[in-house]
Amino acid sequence: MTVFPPRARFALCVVMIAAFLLPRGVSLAGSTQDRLRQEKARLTEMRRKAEEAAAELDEALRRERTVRSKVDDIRKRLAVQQRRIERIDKRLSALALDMDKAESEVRALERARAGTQRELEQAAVQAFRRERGGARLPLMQVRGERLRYFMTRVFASEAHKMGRLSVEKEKKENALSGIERQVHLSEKKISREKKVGDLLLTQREKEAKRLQGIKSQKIQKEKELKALRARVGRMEALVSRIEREVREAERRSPRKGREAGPSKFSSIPGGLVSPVRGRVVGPFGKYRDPVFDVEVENHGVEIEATSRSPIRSIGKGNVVFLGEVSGFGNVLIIQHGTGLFSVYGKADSFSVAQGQVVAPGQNIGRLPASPDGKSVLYLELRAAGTAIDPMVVIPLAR
Amino acid sequence: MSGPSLWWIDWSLHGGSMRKEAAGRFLLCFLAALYFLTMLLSGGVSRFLSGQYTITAILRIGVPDEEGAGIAAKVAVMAPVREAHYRTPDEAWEEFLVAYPGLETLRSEGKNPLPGYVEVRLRPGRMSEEGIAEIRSALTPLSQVEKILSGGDVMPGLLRMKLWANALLWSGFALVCVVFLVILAMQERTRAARLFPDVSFLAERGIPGNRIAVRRAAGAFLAGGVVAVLATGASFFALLLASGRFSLVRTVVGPAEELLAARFLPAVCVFLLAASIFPGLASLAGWRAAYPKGR
Repeated sequence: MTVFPPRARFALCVVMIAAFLLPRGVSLAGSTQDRLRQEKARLTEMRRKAEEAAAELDEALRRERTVRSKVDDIRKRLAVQQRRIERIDKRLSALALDMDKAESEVRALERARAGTQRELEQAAVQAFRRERGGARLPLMQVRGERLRYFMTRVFASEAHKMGRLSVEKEKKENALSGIERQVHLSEKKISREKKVGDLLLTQREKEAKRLQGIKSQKIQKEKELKALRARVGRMEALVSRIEREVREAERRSPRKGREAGPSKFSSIPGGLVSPVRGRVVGPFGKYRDPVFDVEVENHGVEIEATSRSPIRSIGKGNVVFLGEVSGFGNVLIIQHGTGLFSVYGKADSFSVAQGQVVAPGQNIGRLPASPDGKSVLYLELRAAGTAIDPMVVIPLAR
Repeated sequence: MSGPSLWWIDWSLHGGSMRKEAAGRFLLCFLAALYFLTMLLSGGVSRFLSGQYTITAILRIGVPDEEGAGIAAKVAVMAPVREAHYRTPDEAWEEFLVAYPGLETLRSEGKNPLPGYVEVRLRPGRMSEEGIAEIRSALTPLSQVEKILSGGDVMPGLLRMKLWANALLWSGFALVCVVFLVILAMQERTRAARLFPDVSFLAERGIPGNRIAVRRAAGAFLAGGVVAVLATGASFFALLLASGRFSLVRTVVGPAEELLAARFLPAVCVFLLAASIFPGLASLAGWRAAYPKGR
C-alpha cells in the first residue's frame, strides 16, 4: 500500500478544493479572484515542494529500511556465523580432548607392548639359561618337560598379548590419524568461517555508517517536512479564509434561479451509497503508519475492493473536478450541496466529465488492475471545509 | 668224638681264629646285606627315577579345581600309580616362577596364562613303557585334559638306561657275593689244612673224614645263619638310621621302614638262607681242597 505523508495529502486536498472552487466560475470580485489565483499558484508551488520533500523522505525511509534490513541480515548472518564458529570451536575442543586421549592410549599401548617385548626377551633368556644348564641329560629333559611346556604356554600367551597390543595400537593410531585429519579440517573450516565473519563485520560497520548517514538525512528531511507542514497549515487557514470569503461573496451577489443545495450529507436527496463493494482498510483520522512508524492523519478512508471494480457516485451531485493529483492518481470531486464534497482518488479512470450531473450509484469510473486482484479507492468527504469520517454517513464494511 | 661235638670242632680246636673269622664274616655279610637291602628297597635306580619322573596331564584352562582333584583321585587308584596330585593354576604359576625367577611381570595383567595339571608318579616297579601307556590311555579320552606330558622321545632311552643301571648294580651285588664266597672258601681251606693232625687222629680211630666234613659244614651253616641274621639286622638298622637322617638316602633308596612290608620277606629269607648256605658250602669246598680224594 502506498502511503502519502499526511501533511502533503492535506495540502493536496486543499489544492484540490481550491481547484474545484476556481472552475466553478463563481462570480467573485476581481480582487478576490486574483488573490485566489495567486494563492493557487503558491499552493501549487508548495504542493510541489511538499511532494518533493515527501518523496525525498520516502526515498530516505526506503533506503533506511533497506539498509536496516541489510544490517539486520548481516547481524543475523553474523550471529549464525558466530554460532557456527562456536560449534566448530566446541568440536575442536572435543577433538583435542579425543586426540589427547587417543595419544595417551597409544602411548600406554606402546609402553605395554615394550613391556611385553621385554618380558618375552627375559623369558627367552631364562628358558635358554635353563636349557643350557643341564637339559642335555635325558632325566633332566624329562624333569623339565612340564616347565618347558609352561614356558611355551607363557610364550604363546605373551606373543598373543603382543599381537593384540600391536593390533590395538594400530587401530588407535588409525583413529588418531582420523582425529588429526578432522582437527585439520575443522581448523581450516574455522579459519574460513572467521574470514567470513570478519567480512561480515566489515560489511556491518560499513552498513552501520551508511545507516547513520541515512538517519541524519532522514532527520534533515523530517525537519524540512515539518517546516512545510507548518506552511501547509498556514495555507489551509488561508484557504479556509478564502472559502469563507467565497461564501460571503455568494451571499452578497446571489445568482438568479440558483437553488441552495443541502448542507449536510444526511440531507442529500436519494441518500448515500457505498462507492465500491469492499471493506475499509485505511481508517479515518490519526493513526500510526506501520511502514514509516510515524503518526499519520487520514482525511478520508481507503476501501479495498476487487481490481477493475466500478466506482459509483455516493449521491447526486455535480462533477466539479476531474484530474490527476500526485499521490492520488486520477481524482474526481463531486459537489453534493453547499460545502458538501466527495473526493474519489487512486482510480484507474473516470467515465464522467467535469460539470456533469451524476445520480446516486451511477458508475463514474473504475479501479485499477493489480497483480494480487485487490485495489484501493480513496474516499474523502468534506462538509463546510472540514473532512468528516465517511463511515459515519455511508454504510461501509470494515 | 661223635655227634654235635664234630659240628664245632673248629671252634673247640681253633676258637681264637674262629672268632676273628666270624667277625670278618659278619662284616662281609653286613656289607652284602646292606647292598642287598638297598637294592631291594630302591630297585636299583628305579625308585630314584620314579621319584624324578612324573606324567603330567595338563588340563584345559577353566577346568574347575574340583574336577581336577577328581581326576587326580581317579588316577591315584590305578595299579601303576604310586601317587597322583592335582595342582591348581596358581600352584603351577608358583612352580614356574621357582624355575624361572624374575618373570613375575608376565602376569602383570593379573591373568594366569598357565592351567592346572594332574601330576602322576609311578611305582618304581611299574615304571615302564607299558605302565606309562596305561596311564596315557586312561587320561587321553578325558575332555578336561589338554595334553599329556610323559617324557616324549627321551623316555625309551631313559628306560633302557634304567635297565642297564639296574643290571650293573645287581652285577655288583653278585660280585660281592662271589667275593664273599671265595673268601669263605679260602678261609675254610686254610682252616681245614690246619686241622690235618686232628683229622688224622680221628681217622685212625675209625671216624671217617666225610662225616667230619659234613658235621663241620652243618656247624658252618648254623654259624653262618646266625651271623647273617645279625648282619642283616644291623644293616637294616643302619639303613633305617641313614634314611631317617639323610634325605638323599631316602630319595634314592627309599624309606627303610618299607622293608618291614611282607612283600620283602621272601627275598630277605632267601638272602638269609643263602648267607647260611654259603659258609656250609665254603666249608665243604675248603675240606675238599685240603683233603682231595685218595688221601
